[in-house]
Amino acid sequence: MTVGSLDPQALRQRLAGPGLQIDLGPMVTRVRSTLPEFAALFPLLYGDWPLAPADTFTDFTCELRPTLSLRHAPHRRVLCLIDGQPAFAPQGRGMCGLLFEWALNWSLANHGLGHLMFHAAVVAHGDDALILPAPSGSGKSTLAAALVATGRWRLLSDEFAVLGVEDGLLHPLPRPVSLKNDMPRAIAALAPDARFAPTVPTAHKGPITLMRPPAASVAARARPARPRWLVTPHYTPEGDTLLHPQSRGHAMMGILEQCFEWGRRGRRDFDLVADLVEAVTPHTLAHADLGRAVAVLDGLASSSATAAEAAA
Amino acid sequence: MSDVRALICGLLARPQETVGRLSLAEWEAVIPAARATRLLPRVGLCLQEAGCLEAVPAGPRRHLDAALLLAARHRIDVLAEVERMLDALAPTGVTPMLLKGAAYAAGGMASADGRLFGDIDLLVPRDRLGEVEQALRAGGWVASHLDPYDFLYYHRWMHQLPPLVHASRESVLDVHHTLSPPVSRLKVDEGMVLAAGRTVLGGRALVPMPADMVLHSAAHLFTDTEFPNGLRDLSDMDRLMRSFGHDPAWWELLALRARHLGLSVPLLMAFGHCRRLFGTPVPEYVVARTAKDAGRRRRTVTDVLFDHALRPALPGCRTAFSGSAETLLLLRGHLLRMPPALLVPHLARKGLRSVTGWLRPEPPGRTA
Repeated sequence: MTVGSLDPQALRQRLAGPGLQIDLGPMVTRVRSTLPEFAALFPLLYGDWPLAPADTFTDFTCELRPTLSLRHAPHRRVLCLIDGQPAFAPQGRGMCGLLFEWALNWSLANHGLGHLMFHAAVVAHGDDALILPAPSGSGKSTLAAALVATGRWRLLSDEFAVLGVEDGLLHPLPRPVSLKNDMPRAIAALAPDARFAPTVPTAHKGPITLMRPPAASVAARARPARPRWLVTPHYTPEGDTLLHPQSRGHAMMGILEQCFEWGRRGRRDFDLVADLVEAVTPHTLAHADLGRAVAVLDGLASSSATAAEAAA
Repeated sequence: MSDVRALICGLLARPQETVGRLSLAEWEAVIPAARATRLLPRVGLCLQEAGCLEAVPAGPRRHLDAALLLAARHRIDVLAEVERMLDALAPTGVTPMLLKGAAYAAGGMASADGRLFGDIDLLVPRDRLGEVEQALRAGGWVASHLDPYDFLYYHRWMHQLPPLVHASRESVLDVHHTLSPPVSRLKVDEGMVLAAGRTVLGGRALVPMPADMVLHSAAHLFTDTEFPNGLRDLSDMDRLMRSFGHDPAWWELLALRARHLGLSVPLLMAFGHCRRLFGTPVPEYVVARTAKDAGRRRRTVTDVLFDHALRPALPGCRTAFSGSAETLLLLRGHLLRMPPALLVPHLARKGLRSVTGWLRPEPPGRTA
């Protein structure tokens, strides 16, 4: 049974009561909330995700509830609790969808649970993964959303590359993609059936819109992909769209800068990232126009495919 | 659902018999509660030592494995940071005494196993404080900005300087110049503790002798004003006492040392709580003697308050009295630290400051 197949009344009751349990892959989360806004938003963003069986162990519980404080009129602010402890400063009610994403990010970044995480968007062509590691503001989420919108790529993850410590594969975590400013319009032009949550203005990052992950990506959430391409994007509004080969050393340093809990496993962590960089052909991409950037990355995938066929 | 704290203590003290009894729902409560008290790696370690880590279901097992990994990394990192701190102190010629976590790690004590380390605590002679501060500043550890009142509060009335934070590595040093606040009723002769210390790390630092480690931890816990890591500290004491307690002479040394340092009361309280929570094998005559030295009954109202306060700060782990017990113990801790003539103006000042902070309008743009 998926989140979307629950009727709204039952969903609200489950959220307000025992909570909904979802197996995200790297972790199982239980979400609870009494907010009607969240009960409306949650099936919009997570509709294709199945509910975990009742006897699944919950790794993290996230609860969103109205704050009780003298400072604000009651029910004006939302407090996010991770495992019963307040996590962020209370936010406006419209932010409840983002708060839940932040809570998941916080849990993943602090507790890898057998995975090495780094900040990157990952999409896959079949079982070959394209990794877009970059700091915020480089346009990686937009690129990933645009590639996924073509239907030729599936979404592995938007914020976190989840690298299995045992297998060295990238594990899917197809959560909602967060798009900034007017990017949802550009994505909607590419994929008319994409669904978006209402845009929320934030203090630090401007307006943010969450996009529902495509059903096909969620359906393939159990299929890990092997690292194949690594492209570090730079958003250069005035420039041309240029794909350049990058040295493996630079690519590795770029990933290390974006790693969470780096060095926790000592040498093992280094080897994991080194093996990943060894398996890919690293590039940098200066991009301005979304359509051309998508064409360039599609070209990268198809040229590698023809090269592989020629070699065979 | 049974008492979550009792389950955590059971896993620490009797892992073999407890691990099989836990349902998955109980594990779901135990993992976040143990994490909140910083005891998660210790739970993993005790299960590992008893050879029953395999009996843990796969879900919670991932958390225990990750916690064990984290604790192992912490221990390596804290020792590396202690070495860097000693390098920074080398020009002054001061040999600092490490306290608490750093001392456990540097001394290779059982209480360092499965422990997460926070601040590095060190004790330096009070008359060398200026030099030490300067050397640490040169090494990159800087104090956050303090107003003149706070500066005097820390330097004149408190036993430690405000935390020094490293500018790039963000490690935190707590520099103590005495073991108890100079204005407090509890006076501890740090000369005695320093004289009995042993050298570690190639003679560059001192650690207290094991009995003093127990006493310092107890004195700290039972005079403190907040207890986020209280259970962890009790577990540290339990492990220290268990690893040395096979020798009857050590118990006598511990009780004697407590009498000489004037710490029989906190030791008696530590005995009571460790025995009840972890079943620490403290010989009966040692408890009786410490109670006599302390001039105190074994279980007092204060102990009951601590029992309610020393619980994970999570809903479902606390009793109806936990909140009020904490408030009363906060007051008790403050009264032990400072005489009322100093305390009342101090608290009034802090209260006024928090009220003005609260009344100040929220900065624009903090929330959406």
